[in-house]
Amino acid sequence: MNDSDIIHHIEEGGYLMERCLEAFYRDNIRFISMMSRKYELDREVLMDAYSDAVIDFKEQVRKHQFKRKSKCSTYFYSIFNNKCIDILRRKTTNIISNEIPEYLSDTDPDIIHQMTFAVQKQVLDKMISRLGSRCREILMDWNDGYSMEEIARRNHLLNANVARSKRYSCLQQLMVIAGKSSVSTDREDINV
Amino acid sequence: MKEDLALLEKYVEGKMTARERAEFEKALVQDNDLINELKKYLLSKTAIEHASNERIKRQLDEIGTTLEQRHSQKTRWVTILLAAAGIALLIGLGWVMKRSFQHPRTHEEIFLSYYQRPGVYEMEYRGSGSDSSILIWNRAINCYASGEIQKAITEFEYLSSLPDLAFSSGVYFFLGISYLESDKPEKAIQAFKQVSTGSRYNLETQFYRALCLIKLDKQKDAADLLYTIKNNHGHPYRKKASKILKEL
Repeated sequence: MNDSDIIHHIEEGGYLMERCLEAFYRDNIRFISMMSRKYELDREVLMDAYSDAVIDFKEQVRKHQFKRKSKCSTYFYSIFNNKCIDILRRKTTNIISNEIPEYLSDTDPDIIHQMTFAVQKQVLDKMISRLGSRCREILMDWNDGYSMEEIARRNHLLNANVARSKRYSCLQQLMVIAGKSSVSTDREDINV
Repeated sequence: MKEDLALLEKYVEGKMTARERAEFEKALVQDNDLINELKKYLLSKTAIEHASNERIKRQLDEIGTTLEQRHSQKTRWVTILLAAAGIALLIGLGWVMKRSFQHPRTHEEIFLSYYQRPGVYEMEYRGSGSDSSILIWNRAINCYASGEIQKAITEFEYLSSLPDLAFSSGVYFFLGISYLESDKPEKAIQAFKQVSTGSRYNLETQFYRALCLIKLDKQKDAADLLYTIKNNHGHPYRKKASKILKEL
């Protein structure tokens, strides 16, 4: 799979994106061993960071933040590398800061931001968990770019129209839950 | 409500025309409820994105676990193979060093390691007849079997001097062996030469003659004889001859 295919499939979303991410995950798994040697981190920790990096890469492609100035694998490597540096930071606090190579650009948020994000994640988890399982699946499928026909098939609904209607009602339910939630989002300040 | 939601989505996804967008943003400024709806929509969208990413992460982690298991199995096998290769290399090196530094054995040592006095079987006894030569033969064989080699030599020499002896090949064979036991290889060779090629002692005689030649440091003659033995596929001493040839 070449870079154009990867980007196309991720942007399209749905089933192809899912398969593409799995293939991308397998194709670059060697980075785990590379980072293991480079930073001497546990493989288990690296595995977790690696899948997070794949998700981040997907998000950046879908939001058109990846400008295609480098190869997908190179770009992904830098994301994964930054994740590893974060882990090292958490592990060794200020000891590591002098050891991080200068050429590595660290675009990840600082520790305060990370803590805030962790709290936000908990709130988001709580919100979504208050929905029924089918609603959750329908909304996640919609987010992942599945078509209404695919959503209907995946969730055993009658047809695309039923799926569409169900999607609206689920989203409304979630918005009611969101209204009761006190969390503030960064999107308040985003200029949409 | 459904229409409001569709409008919010259209705005957030940037699908409005410039005019629609301007109108919507004007409404946002005037309508606090609309702002709240937009906030709730954005928060809900963030929660869905988060949950969706968690779902994908779980799928990827499952693949990762499978790949890790394969990786660790592969690593284990590589370790075992490397260890086996290391052991094989050490054994090989040890063998090469042993061969390089091992002092070659002398002819006497080779002789001693392959020489074994042939035993006396029941068939060697000729029964107790009245014929004096048979009585002497039995006596000689008894001496030989009990290790009284000098006495055996005397008896075998006497027998060998008798004319027209029916079992002369046996006499010469055991006489040769007895000479060899007494450290007289040259005499042993002379005795072995008298053994008939058609007798049942012929093949054994060939081997013991070769040992005599080794003892006498006649390496070339010994090797020729040993090659003859080696090339005879039915020869009982074929394997031993092959081993001795390697050492020579």
